[in-house]
Amino acid sequence: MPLMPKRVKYRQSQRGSRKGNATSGNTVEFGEYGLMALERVWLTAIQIEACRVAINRELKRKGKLWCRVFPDKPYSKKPLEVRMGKGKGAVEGWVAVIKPGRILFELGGIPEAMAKIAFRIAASKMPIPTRFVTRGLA
Amino acid sequence: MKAVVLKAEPRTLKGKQPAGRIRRGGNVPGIVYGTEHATQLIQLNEHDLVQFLKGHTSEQFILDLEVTGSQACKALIKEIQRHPVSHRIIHVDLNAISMTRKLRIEVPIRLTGEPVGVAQQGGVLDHMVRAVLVECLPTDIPELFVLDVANLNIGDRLTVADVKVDKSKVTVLSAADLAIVAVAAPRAEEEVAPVAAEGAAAEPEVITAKKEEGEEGAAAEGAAGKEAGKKEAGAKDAGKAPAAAAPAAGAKPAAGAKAAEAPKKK
Repeated sequence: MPLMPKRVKYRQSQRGSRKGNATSGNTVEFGEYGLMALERVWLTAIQIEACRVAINRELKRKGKLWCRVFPDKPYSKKPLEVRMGKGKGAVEGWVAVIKPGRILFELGGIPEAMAKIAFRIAASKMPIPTRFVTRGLA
Repeated sequence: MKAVVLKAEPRTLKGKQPAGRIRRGGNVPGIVYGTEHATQLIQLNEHDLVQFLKGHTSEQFILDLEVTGSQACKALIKEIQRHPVSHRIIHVDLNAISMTRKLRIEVPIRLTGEPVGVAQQGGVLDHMVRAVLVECLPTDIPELFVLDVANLNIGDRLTVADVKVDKSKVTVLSAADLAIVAVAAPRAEEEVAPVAAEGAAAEPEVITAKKEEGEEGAAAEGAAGKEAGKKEAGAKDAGKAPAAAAPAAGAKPAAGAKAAEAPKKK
């Protein structure tokens, strides 16, 4: 089951802005290594889940994974061959708004080489380019 | 802790655009302040600063700051601001300190060895606290605390009390029972969610629509009741359907009936 909020204030939301760089969630806080987004995108719940599963499979129950993004924005779409108007479309899925610099995942308790391999597999499932980062001085 | 020399130049320009010009010129804008030091705007050579930081495990060390045209002073790096994507240094805050006054500072922790619980039992090393808050004179600041985790089994942990500190010089301010590192049991296999659950994945609860939902629910119930009534009526009609389907004598046949008869005429 894809990630989504349990309770929301409003059923649908406007598109909002994706300008600028990530002002929060842009440093490695919990683990030792992180996967950083280099471009802006709406990351869907399915994409996040695919990355999480791929990393866990690669690690084989070693280390600890932190997912730093959550799809809390409803994404709506009108059905095919429907004329414009008649209200906003139905909720199609949930997305996380990602700006450059955002840390997407963090790993700890494993060697750097293993973290690099796991993040490389996760990065191949991402719709944007990413970078491997480590805690502390960059 | 060793003191190292850092050279800087005073700057008069301040604000967003002059700071941008300073950065494009290969320098980093910064500031020095302290209780016994007048606030001063400075700029440092970016390459020198990066090389300077590369040789240190943390950003907590005493600097001999030499600003051109001013007296040299001792300083600590208070904050380094970095660009979120490129990680280039964009600003440095330096805190001028007195060598005779105690200060509070976070000293980083480094772990050594591979825990038994990880190497042999398949556990997961969880490093929860990465720095310990201490109070000491600037001359007594430890560069880092080293913790040996080689003897940790699954379920074991090391706390702040396990950090070896020279208590005559350094006072630890972090709580003694604060866990620094622990070895957790290996993670359980992930449960694969049944496919049927995906279909049941309803929309999240809408907080603001509670009242409406209640009204709608009542209305829906009413509508459902009406529909049920209609269905029952429909069922009764269906019972009568065979009789109704047969057209009365002399009545006009339905279009479907015509279409069915058409091939027969040929």
